[in-house]
Amino acid sequence: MKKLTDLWIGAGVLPIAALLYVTGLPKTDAMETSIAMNPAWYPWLLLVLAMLCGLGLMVSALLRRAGPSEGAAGITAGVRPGRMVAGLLAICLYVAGFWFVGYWVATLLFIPALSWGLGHRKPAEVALVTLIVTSLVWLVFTRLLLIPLRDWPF
Amino acid sequence: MDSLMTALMMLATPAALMAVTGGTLFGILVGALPGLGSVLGITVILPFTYMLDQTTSIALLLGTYCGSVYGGSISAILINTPGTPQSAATVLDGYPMARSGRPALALGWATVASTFGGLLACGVLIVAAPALARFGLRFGPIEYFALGLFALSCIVSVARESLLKGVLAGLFGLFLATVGQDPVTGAMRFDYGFFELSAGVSLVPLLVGLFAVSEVLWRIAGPAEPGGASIMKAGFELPSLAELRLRFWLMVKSALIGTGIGTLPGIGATAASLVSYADAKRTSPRRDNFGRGEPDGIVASESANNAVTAGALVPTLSLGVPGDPVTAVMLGALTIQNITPGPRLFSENGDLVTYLFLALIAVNLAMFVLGALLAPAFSRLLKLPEPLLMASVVVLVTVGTYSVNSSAFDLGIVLVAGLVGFVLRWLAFPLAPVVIGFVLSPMIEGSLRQGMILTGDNIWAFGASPIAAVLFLLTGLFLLWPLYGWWRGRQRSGASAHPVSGD
Amino acid sequence: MINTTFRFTARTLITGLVLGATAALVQAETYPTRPVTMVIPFPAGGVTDTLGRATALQLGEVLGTNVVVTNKQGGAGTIGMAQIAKSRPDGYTVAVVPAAPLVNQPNLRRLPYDADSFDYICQLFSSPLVLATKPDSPFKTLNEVVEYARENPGALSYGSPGPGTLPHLAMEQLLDVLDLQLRHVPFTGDGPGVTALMGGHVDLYMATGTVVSDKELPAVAAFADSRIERLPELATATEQGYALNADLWGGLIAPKGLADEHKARLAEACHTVAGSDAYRVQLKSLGTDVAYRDAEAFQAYVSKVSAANAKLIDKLGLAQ
Repeated sequence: MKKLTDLWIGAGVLPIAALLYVTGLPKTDAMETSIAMNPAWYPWLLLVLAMLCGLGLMVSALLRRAGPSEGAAGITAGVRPGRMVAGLLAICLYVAGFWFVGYWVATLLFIPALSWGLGHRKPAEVALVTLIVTSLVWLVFTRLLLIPLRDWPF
Repeated sequence: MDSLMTALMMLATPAALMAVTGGTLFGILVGALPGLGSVLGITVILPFTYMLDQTTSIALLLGTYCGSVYGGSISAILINTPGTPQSAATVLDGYPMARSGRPALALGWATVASTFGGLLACGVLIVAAPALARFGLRFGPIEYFALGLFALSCIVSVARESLLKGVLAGLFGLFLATVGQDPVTGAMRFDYGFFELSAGVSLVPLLVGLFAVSEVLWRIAGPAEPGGASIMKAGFELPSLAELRLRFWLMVKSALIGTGIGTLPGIGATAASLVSYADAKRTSPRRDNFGRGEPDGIVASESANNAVTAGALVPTLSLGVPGDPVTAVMLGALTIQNITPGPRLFSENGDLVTYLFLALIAVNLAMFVLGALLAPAFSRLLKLPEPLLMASVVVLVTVGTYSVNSSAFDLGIVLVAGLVGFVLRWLAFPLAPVVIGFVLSPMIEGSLRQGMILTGDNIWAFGASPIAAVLFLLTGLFLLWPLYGWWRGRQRSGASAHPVSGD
Repeated sequence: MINTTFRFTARTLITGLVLGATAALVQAETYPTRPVTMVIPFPAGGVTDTLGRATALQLGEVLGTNVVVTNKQGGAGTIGMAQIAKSRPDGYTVAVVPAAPLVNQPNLRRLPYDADSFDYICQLFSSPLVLATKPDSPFKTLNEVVEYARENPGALSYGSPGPGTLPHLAMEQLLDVLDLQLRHVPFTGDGPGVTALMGGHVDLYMATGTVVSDKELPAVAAFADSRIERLPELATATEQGYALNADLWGGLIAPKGLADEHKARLAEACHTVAGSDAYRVQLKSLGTDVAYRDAEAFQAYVSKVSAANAKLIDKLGLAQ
């Protein structure tokens, strides 16, 4: 299992690097201009090296299948992707909220919501911490550092 | 001697001492807030210096500068977020140490190492500033390229389990830095039509996402830890003398690395502390504990990044060329105070230079005392129940990132970098090489291509520079070293039946 | 569009609700009634930033309100410029900008703004460029440089703070007029560039007079009408027979579409700032001089230089 992961990572690196090289660089006359004046040369070198590393990962994963599994890097066990997606979504919502409805509203909603979602549900404590954190951060940024935060209405 | 007395009198005024304390305090706070860094701290202070006299302004600026570099270690240790980019390497062992129930001791190590590094670099600055600055001038594009490669070779030693994955992570970092405008021709690379990408990926949102957001996600969705979080002992604990003695030479070495790199304009404290960390990992007798809360890691990083503060003042004061973005702001502030850094400063304004050195020493001492006093307050944060702490971290890093550039795009980078950081951890990639690659990439590419312009596209001419030749040789040696170790390992276990046990 | 309208309506509504009875009073007050934001499209601490902050301080005093500086860096100034261009032209967003992102960058590549996206308030500063040489350089006059470069095409190198910057284009223009070939080594800003010159890694560098005088670098010519005050020994290019001028300049702009009374108030304030002694002294310590042009002259100058540089960029094939 572990060795297979490295195989997949290696196999994934190859097309990504190739795609980046083909799509992301200005159309210069390929390798004709000098290295100094060619904007594509250095990224090209990095991507080729990355592809070599990908190949190396695949080869060593295949070789290792015959050998002992100790020392194989593979993958961290026990990660729960569903929770990750939910967590990321919550953070994205907060950042979007910060941008569109401003610091106060977003923060006062986000802290209790995340805490609730993660299973910490003591209303008094949550409310107290939310208020303290929200106002403390606001005070430090707007009053001490004189950096305006996004306050609704804009 | 006369000059020393004059300088002491200048420092011994209430205004100057208050500026030292106030500046350091403010710096620590700004540094500890993720996202806000030294540059922002100095910029906020700047308008005040317009109204203050020379000596008070200098003390205030130096305090903010050194304090912010130290302050970054606090959030690095407590919440896995480098408060300033300079503390990126402190995260690697500081946070695991705090997680294992010793946050007070981790803060103690960071404080001791920071103060030590700062003071030692001060000493070097006092003795050798003009000479060091002259030596630094011998570094042109070719030498910078060699130095960049040399620093990059340390990725090999921070790649923990799989060398290939470490190198791949490093390449990823190097690659990320190529997004945006090409430094030589101005052509666009990998911007995919997004105007904001034409400016490239900024370091602060990248670091904040890679470390802080991915850590929050990891605590939400990572493998459940057996027995839950251990009990945190909040407070501040100095390491024992025996432990200190064990790491004395490491502190000296890291401080010298920091001073040296600081002296060369344009490399910066982030690279310095990462290189110092990697070097410690390569050479320390306790290298197997690295990444699991080994004090050596904290010491190497913090001693080096605080040494950079004094190191970066070397070219700033003696040449008038800023050593890093922070000293660039300081240079502007000094100019407004009618102090013109440059070759003439030392000869014409000796008293002021001596005062500056004394103020720097005072700031480092203040940093130690204030650190010891403030650390317990900061570490109280860890007493928050984990869900509330995680939520607060998200709020802090969002606000912190926003405050740097008021940019929605930067916030997007934080989110993407958080996801990338999580996936990299999941697939057992080390994060440090990504940062090392990202920080060094512009220097490596820029100096390589500048060098090629100067030599007329002849890479072999790079070897003609003695400094570059030595650095190339060292790079080769360091790269071959792990191979040699691997070969030795094979010889020893030669009788073993298994053909491959690489990495 | 809907979004903007909605936001505008919401803002008006809420302002109305909150201010209630005092609303009429606020309306009656003269502009500006709240702090003005000044965008600076370069990182904190650079020359532009320090200049901008000095301007913000003075401008705030004249306008009687706070002028808050925000740095919006990246892309050789273009990121910040784009933001200024799309800000609301309500008089509460202004910017201090150097000329390069106005007159060079839009000619180099496609950008979400051009020189017409702004209202010009006034030009504030200018510092003439000087051609500096490395410390042990054999060249004492511009003529010696030209002669040597003519005999050895491609042998000399010059540094610049980056591709598409004012000093880069000024140098290219010089080379174009004189039909010379030098190797261009772009650095990331004056810091690394000037250090490389001091270390003798490049032969020549276009910089401002302060850089040369503070760092005691030798120089061969000043590209100004008359000799520079801090370098009285240095002959101008014109004196040496090459009638060329080059400087770093810039001023105060705002997003296009300012109300006339706001623009008039800002222009008047800008004029006062440019005339004040405190401002002159502050700029002097930063190595630049006050060079005032009124709104019309500033705009005309921007168009003129932009057109000239577009031609040069086209001729040299620098555009992406």
